[in-house]
Amino acid sequence: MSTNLGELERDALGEAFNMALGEAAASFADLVQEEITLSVPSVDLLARQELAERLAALQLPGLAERLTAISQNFHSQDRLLNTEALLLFGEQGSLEIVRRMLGQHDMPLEHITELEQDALGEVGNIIINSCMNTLSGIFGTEMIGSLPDVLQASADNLFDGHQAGQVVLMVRIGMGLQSHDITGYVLFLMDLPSLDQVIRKVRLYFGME
Amino acid sequence: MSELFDRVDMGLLWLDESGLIGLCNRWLSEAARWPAPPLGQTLEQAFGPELSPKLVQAVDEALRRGRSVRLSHAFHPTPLPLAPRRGDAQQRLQQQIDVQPAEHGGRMGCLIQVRDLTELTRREALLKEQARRLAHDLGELRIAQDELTRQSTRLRELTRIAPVALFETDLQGMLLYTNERFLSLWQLRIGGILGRHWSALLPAAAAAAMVEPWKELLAAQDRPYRDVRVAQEGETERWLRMEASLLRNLDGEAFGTLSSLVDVSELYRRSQQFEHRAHHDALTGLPNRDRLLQRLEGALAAARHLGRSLPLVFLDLDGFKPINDHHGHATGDALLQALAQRLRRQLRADDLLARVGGDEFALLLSDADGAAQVARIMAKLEDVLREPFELNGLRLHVGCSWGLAQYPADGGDADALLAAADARMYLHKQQRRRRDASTENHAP
Repeated sequence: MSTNLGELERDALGEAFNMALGEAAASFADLVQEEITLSVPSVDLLARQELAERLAALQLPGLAERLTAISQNFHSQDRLLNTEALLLFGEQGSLEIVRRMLGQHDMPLEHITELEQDALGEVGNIIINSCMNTLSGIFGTEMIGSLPDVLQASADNLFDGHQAGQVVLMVRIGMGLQSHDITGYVLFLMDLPSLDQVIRKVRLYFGME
Repeated sequence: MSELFDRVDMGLLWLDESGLIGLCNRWLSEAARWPAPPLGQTLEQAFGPELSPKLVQAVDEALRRGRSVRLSHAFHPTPLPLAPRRGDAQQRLQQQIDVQPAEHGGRMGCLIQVRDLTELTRREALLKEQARRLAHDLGELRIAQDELTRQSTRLRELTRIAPVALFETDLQGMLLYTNERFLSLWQLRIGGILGRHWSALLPAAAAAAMVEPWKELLAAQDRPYRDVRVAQEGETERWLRMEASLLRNLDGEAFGTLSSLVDVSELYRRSQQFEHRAHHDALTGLPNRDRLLQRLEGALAAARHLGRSLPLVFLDLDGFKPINDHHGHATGDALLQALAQRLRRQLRADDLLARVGGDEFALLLSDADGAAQVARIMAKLEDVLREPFELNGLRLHVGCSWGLAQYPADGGDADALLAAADARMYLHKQQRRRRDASTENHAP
């Protein structure tokens, strides 16, 4: 087990998550009835603290402010593979998405209400679940998922609940709405044993073993 | 376990792998109006046609694939036909439903949690409505504020460029505001003048002249203006046009005054000039025929009223025409000016000497009773005319013929008197010519 990903492994992981996110983007596009553009996935192994710094440093629309994160935990049936999937938007972006879907463009409230958070939870749930459907296929095992959590925090505080030393597989894929300047990111957080599992299953799937 | 579930303040439902209800807490039974938990039934059997297909799909996802699914209130307000537990059975609870895989009694299945969001929905609708209203009010306020700013800028610019001195006071006349023109009108500086009575800042004579008219203007309903003559020692006459009105609040109560002052001295000077021009001969500065007639009418009315006589003399120059012909009009004009001055000097202020024609004059004498007195005055005038005029190195001689007409003896109105005086003058002139001619004949 190595914390350094080889070129091939990186490509394979990138491809796997690209497939998954393609599925997720399609369901997101269904929700907002608009075409979604996906950026090329980047796969990185990072320490938790590093991740927070990377997120804070992203000079991308919406990410400088508070973030809205929708997170769900997944584990394989044998519980060897555990991961937390996170969907990130800037607070303004998430506000715009949900109000757009609810047909309340002119709402002057500056913050997301409880019901809007609830709706965002469902939106994230749909995107993450459809992503996980593809991944389950690639992993060859069902992934049991928890309910979505919606939280709002700055990039620094987003991972306060996690162990500082935990390694994060950061698969960053940008999802952009064309008519709006909204970009979302999907992250998968997992520990090293889980990462090992993922790499193994992905290699298997792509016939690398 | 099931007793514990009954105490939870949300709906809980557990379905086994085949989708049959294995557990249902009291909250849900009550909200669904079930007399007893429908254990062993499917969701469709338990809830009937009002059951949302989305929920069925979510349960399927959870049971078959292990997915947890949230049905948010925003997109699915009432997936289950639930009513308030104490209240109208026709009403529907606003719900949030979570479906997740869950084991129970060693069996796989899924748990459905139902939250009642009715109150939250109501509160948020209220909040949003208030936010909208607030945003609207704020927008209106911003518009009003913009307008206010525009108005006050407009007002400031207006008071700056307006060619009037403006001052605002409270009801006691204490100064609250002045524009720059007010300051420059009275040569004041802004420091220390606010809070003092406006009139206290003015020269004493001006203040004395203006305070009463100011009060009258404020008391007047129709807001006219008043022209006030402001006498300042050692200066030319100055006129100020003053307007003043009360400032009233929305209830119509007066709370202050706003006044304006315009220097109309130039206007007055011009109108005096016009007046003078209309009634005076431009060359000699003597009153003209119009002015004479005006005065004559007045004097006649007085004489009629007092039963007194009124003498009018018509006077015509002798020997003027040859001078004019010989030495040119410029010399003739200069002679007329000099002559008018010389005659004027012999007369009293109340006597009126008017130029009524080229070399014709009329004299309206005040307080001259009787022909004798008139003759004395005329003798004096003849004397001064006899003196030669030294003009442009020339020595010029003129004489005069005159005729006297008296009211009421020679005529009852101005025209008749003038005609009579003219006729007498003519007679006089002819007599003199004859006399002069005979003197010439007898001359050696």
